[in-house]
Amino acid sequence: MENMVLKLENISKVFPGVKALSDVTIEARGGEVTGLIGVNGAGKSTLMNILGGVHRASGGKIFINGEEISIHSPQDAENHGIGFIHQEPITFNFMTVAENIFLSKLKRGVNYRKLNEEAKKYLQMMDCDIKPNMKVGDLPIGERQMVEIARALSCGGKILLFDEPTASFTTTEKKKLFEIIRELKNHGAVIFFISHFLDEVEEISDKTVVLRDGRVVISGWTKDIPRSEILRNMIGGEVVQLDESAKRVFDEVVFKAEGITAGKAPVDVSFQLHKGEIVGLWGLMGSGRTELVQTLYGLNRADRGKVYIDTGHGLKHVSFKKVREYCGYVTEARHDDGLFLPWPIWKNITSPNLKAYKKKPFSFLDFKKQKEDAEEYVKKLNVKTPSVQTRIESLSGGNQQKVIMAKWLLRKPHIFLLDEPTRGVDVGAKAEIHKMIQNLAREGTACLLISSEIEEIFALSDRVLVLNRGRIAAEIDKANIDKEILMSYCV
Amino acid sequence: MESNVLKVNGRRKIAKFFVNYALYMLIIALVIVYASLTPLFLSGQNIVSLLTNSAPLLVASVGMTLILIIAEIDLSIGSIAGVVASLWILMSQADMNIVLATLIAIMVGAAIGAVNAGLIVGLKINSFLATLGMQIFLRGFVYIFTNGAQILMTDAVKQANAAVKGVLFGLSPLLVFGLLIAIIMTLVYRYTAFGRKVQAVGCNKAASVKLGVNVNMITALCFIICGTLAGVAGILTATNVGMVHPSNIGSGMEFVAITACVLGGTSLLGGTGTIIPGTLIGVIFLNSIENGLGLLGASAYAYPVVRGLVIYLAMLTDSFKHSMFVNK
Repeated sequence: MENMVLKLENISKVFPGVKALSDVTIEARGGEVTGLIGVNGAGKSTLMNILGGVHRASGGKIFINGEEISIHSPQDAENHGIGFIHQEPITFNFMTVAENIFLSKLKRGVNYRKLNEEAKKYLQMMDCDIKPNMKVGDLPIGERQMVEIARALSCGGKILLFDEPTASFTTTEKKKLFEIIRELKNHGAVIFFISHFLDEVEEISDKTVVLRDGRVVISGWTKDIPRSEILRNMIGGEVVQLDESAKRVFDEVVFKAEGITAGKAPVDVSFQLHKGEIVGLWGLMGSGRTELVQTLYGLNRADRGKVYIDTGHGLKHVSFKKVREYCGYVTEARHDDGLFLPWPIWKNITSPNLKAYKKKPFSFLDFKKQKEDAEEYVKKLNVKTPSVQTRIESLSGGNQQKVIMAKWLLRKPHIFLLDEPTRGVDVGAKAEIHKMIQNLAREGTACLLISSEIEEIFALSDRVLVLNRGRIAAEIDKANIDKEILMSYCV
Repeated sequence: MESNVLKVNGRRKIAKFFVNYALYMLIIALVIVYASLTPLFLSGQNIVSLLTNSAPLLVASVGMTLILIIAEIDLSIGSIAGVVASLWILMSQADMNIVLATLIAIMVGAAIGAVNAGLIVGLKINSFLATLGMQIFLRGFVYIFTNGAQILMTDAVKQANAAVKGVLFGLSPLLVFGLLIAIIMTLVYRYTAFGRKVQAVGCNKAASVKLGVNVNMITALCFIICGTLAGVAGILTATNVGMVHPSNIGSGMEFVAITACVLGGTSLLGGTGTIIPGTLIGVIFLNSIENGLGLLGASAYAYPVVRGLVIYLAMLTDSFKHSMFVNK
């Protein structure tokens, strides 16, 4: 047991169009915690999913104690004693705790008395007094994670993968989790701990492995790697040129948010947008970026907070619902909530602004004018399409995104909220969209830009707000924007 | 602040209690009302006849419960019942051994269930559409098999029925088979790995996949079981009324069964529900409404009005139940 060794050799994984992992080699020993760290999309979760049998590796080998094993399904992983604690606890709300723990191990008949006793055994290993016959849906989120860990322990507890387990934890729950991990470590388990919070990895792990773009960029004993080096390796070394000529002065406040709070995120967020300014909203996944915008836009219920908008007569308090009238909102997932996919382009472009196309005497829609306007914007934004009659779903991602921009531009918003405006867009269209955003700002629109891409934030923002766990952790001026500084505020 | 939270929690608990036990309260209210209006309602004879008449719907609803728990739907059960029942009677009219004929008829139900499963799991057709198509398609066959006219049960079947009744100490075979099937399926659902995986698939399909549950297999098995039980329900219906009428047999059975399930606490969104007590009580409740209306001499035209109101009530409680779970 003491000498348990898990070795991953040259693991690679190719998803259609993306190389998620290439040649990842990691050796982990029993009694050690290996911390895996990297920004979103670095390949941490993919690697764990391969070990847990959720995905199959495209190449590479896995050894336990020098013996090669193959993992084709979650069952295989369990048979090799690999327990996977998923990022979001996998729960069956209407079923009991014991059923949740042992579901994948049930064979034929179910003996509830035995099942509950077994469940109790694993729960007690964590000093947890959850009753095994309770419905999981009645438990608070933190305790559901305990159930998830108990399930992983029931696989043998030799190899445990913790995939961002702290995401939904309170501080006390986190402390408890770390105690559990230390306990397991002392029993000789091989433990992987994933997080994008650097302080957590520093606290719990003996070894640190940094992933970037699917590769191991640095690994070694945690105590031997300085924090700055980890940060530098997480984000990569490229230098970004700042466009000094674009330095402008902003003095006219057009949008002010005050103490916006809605549940876990955002928490007490206040900021201002000036006329013609692009403000980057930066933070890692789960930091509450999208939640903040949705709250501002009245889509999530705010517990507290006020929004002020200058509608031409100075700043005035407006209700969250009214915010929609003055703001354009490019949503994060265009297929889900950005487009009417089966509709032609012209209907999509004019959809937020139908009031403008009422025709007398019956207030029917003026299709001709709608199409003309759509054509104008298709030309202006260089959307590559045979005609405005084309169904939007047949366009490429970049062109779809341009149509989304067009539909809000048509409304001439005072304020533009952009959530990942270039996600899944090719390089050419990306540059065009960047240009569009800059032009909009020049014309006086205030833009709030969310992006996971640090380069995008760099290239466009006049000012950056860093969001960490729902709160604004820092506000950085254009002159002082620096990758490492940004990272240090959000991990 | 804290006392406020407690108050809200307490109120929620009371609301939850009401939503969970709404059906039981309704049943008690119904029994009291009917019993006070007519002494016949609580007579032993009426209770036995009520339970016997409930058997076909009970068997069909047991199958439907599984389907609803995995968050699918099967609209073809009424037509399956029709096809199986008319084949069964035709086979017996052709002097086939009654045991053999029954077995074959039940196998036909299972086979149709398997075809449904193939359409839904194999070809990935939405279960609503796949089984709606099957419903219309099979109803046509009922007309073809019966030539559009009612066909009568043979004396041989009636004798066999009487013989079984003798073995069962004079209890109606319908009643005994119906309850037996409900009990067996309850045990299967509660105490087998298969049953637990059925609930898991309904609770959280994606998670089931991640844990290595064979979701397709579970889904297919549920449709096969549902088809089989629909066939049995058809045979029981034919036995009960002594004939098959092509436009009556099993007609509308799917929606009555869904209503019974939902009344009994099965969620249309999947993941939760019970056969005994839930579905059993739902079936009895639905049938006792009409039984009582009949005893009171209410116009037959009033039945759909009452049934509609009950369906509305059932959907309303389902919606409350769900929103309560989400808001937590």
